[in-house]
Amino acid sequence: MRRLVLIAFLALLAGIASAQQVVEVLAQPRPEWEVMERLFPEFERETGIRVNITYFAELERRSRSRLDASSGAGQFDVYYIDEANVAEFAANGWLVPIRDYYPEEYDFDGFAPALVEVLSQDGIAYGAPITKEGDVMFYRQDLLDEHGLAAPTTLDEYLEVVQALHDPPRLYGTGTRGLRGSGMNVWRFSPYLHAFGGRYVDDDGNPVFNSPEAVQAVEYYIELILHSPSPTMSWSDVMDSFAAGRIGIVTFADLKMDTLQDPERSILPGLMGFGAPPAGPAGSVSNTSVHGLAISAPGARTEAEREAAGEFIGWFTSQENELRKVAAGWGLTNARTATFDSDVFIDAYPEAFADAMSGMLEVQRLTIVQIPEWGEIGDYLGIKLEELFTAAFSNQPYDIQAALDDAVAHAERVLGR
Amino acid sequence: MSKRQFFYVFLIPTVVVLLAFALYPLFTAIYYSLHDWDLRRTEPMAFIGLGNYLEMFQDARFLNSLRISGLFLVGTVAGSVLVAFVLAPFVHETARSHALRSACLFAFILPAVLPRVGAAYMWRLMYDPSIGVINYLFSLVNLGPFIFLQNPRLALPSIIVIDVWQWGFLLTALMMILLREVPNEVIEAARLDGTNMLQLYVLIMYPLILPLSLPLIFVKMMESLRSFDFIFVLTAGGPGIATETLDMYAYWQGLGTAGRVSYAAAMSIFMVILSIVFVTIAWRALRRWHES
Repeated sequence: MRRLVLIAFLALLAGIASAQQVVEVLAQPRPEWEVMERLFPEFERETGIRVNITYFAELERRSRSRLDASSGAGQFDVYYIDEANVAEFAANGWLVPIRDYYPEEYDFDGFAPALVEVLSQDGIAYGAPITKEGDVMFYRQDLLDEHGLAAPTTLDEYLEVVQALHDPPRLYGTGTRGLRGSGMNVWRFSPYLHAFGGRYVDDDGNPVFNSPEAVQAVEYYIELILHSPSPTMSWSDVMDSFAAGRIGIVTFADLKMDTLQDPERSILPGLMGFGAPPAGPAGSVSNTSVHGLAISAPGARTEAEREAAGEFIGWFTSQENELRKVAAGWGLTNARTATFDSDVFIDAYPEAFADAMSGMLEVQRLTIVQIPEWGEIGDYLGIKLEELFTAAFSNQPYDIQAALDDAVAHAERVLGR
Repeated sequence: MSKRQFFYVFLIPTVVVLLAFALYPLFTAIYYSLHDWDLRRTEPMAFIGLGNYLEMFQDARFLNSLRISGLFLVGTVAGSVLVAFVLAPFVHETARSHALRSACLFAFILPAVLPRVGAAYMWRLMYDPSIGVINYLFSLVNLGPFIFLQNPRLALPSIIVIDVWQWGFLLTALMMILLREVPNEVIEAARLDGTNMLQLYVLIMYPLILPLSLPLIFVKMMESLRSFDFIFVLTAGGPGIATETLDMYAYWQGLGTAGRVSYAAAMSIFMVILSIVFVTIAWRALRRWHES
């Protein structure tokens, strides 16, 4: 009997010793993560920490991580965060300040400071940036040459090019996001709102996106929708249509260049021209999006769990891995200054594209409002915009002012709740 | 063990499953609906009584979703029943051979065998303005291209058509089987009395098979009330809120984006009450009509 107890005790000890540290990650599927996942065994060998990733598409990812944090379930140690939800997560204490657990050897200060700032609240960094995006104008140089058109620099010229190239169903002048959602049509619309001189909230935080400038911006955007293949395109619909040669000119995330210059997934290599976003009455404006990895406070409860999560985030975002992403053809989904300055990065993209990106960097700004209520406010505005776009596309009557008034009234209710 | 005890023992699994998966969620939903649980906030939830229920009726988007759910229910049930009541007699009268009837049955059941989400994806492609087969057929006669799912006025009817395609044909198949069961003597007697085809069906065949087809229609009604997955794939409630049913709106408010779990729970409870009331009234009315 005594021997039996001893054996059981030893078995228990062995069990504890082999209980590996596991980092649970909630992420959103991206092509470069497939590249990274193939490198995980390397990390697991070096650290003895196992990584388990659960993927959800963008909207699901946001609601799942919120549910996980808010309910206290804490199934995940690492959240995938972005500029739109960092405010909510930080304000509720769902994230751990990242610098406290980011290993020194991986050099947190190597990230471009502007990107870290987007994932910070009140000066405290919560996320290690993994990718950023801004807007670049992509157009079909061959078609512009054919029509004898110059590359547009203003929104008026841009619309002229769109109209000149529009010859459906063979070719659509442009394609732009119409599918509703704070991160969907509202995201794509936001730089236009600012380029026309409008804004979402005034200095006191009151919603003002029913101003005459905002109405003008929507009018302009509807013109783009009317020259698109469909009024409810998602970003991937737009990218696929452009890559297939069915769209003449678009302005969207610079990141898409990695796909568009890949001959296996696009007919466009060698046919494209690039530029900074065209200027509206209030100048040229580009979105700024930053995605990052953060440590979940309810998920990583113990010091050991937080250290393991930090170790994983540090390794994932290391300089070495960023360069590996460049080599694998996903150079734009990075966040370190040294990566963007490296020769391999510079050689990977045409000079004209690099120039367009420089132009983009000069006009990049945060076009949405970083408040916890943004998701709900943006989603409602997205519905109103989708209603306008689909009504216009179907030749049905619509009223921009009434729709925006409605969305502003909704925003006031949400903010007052 | 007495016979009675024996029955009780066999009831246990059912009762446990019912408690765990039906009653427990229902009562927690009622509990949450009387509070103000918001996923965006960390402070503990407070009891607010009927606040969520009162807010619901001032919420234009909720009233819209109620209307959409109603239209979807009426459209899909009426459409399916109409297809079945017209198509079943037609096939029954024209396809006389056993092989032909079996082939028709097989073809009619096929759409319903497809998973809802699969059927939705298939139709989304078929409806596509540029690559869809429906617009291709229209283009042969120089019409179109039409947009279906992105048109605020056409979206809901387009979705109803898909539902009727699945359920109308299924009901047709079941109705054909029922028609086959009507005794020949009845039909011959009616023929001798000089009824025409319309009279034969309206006065004799339909009333005979109705008691058996009513439960089918009720199953369809219940099914129409929960078409979340199906509509989610097709339009996710859009364009705007043109196809946003009650369950879809509850999802957006609850887990989708707003994070207002309590408000969404209140909507779900309201939906449960509404379906119970509605089904009871409809059931009684149909029975009374049948008995008279």
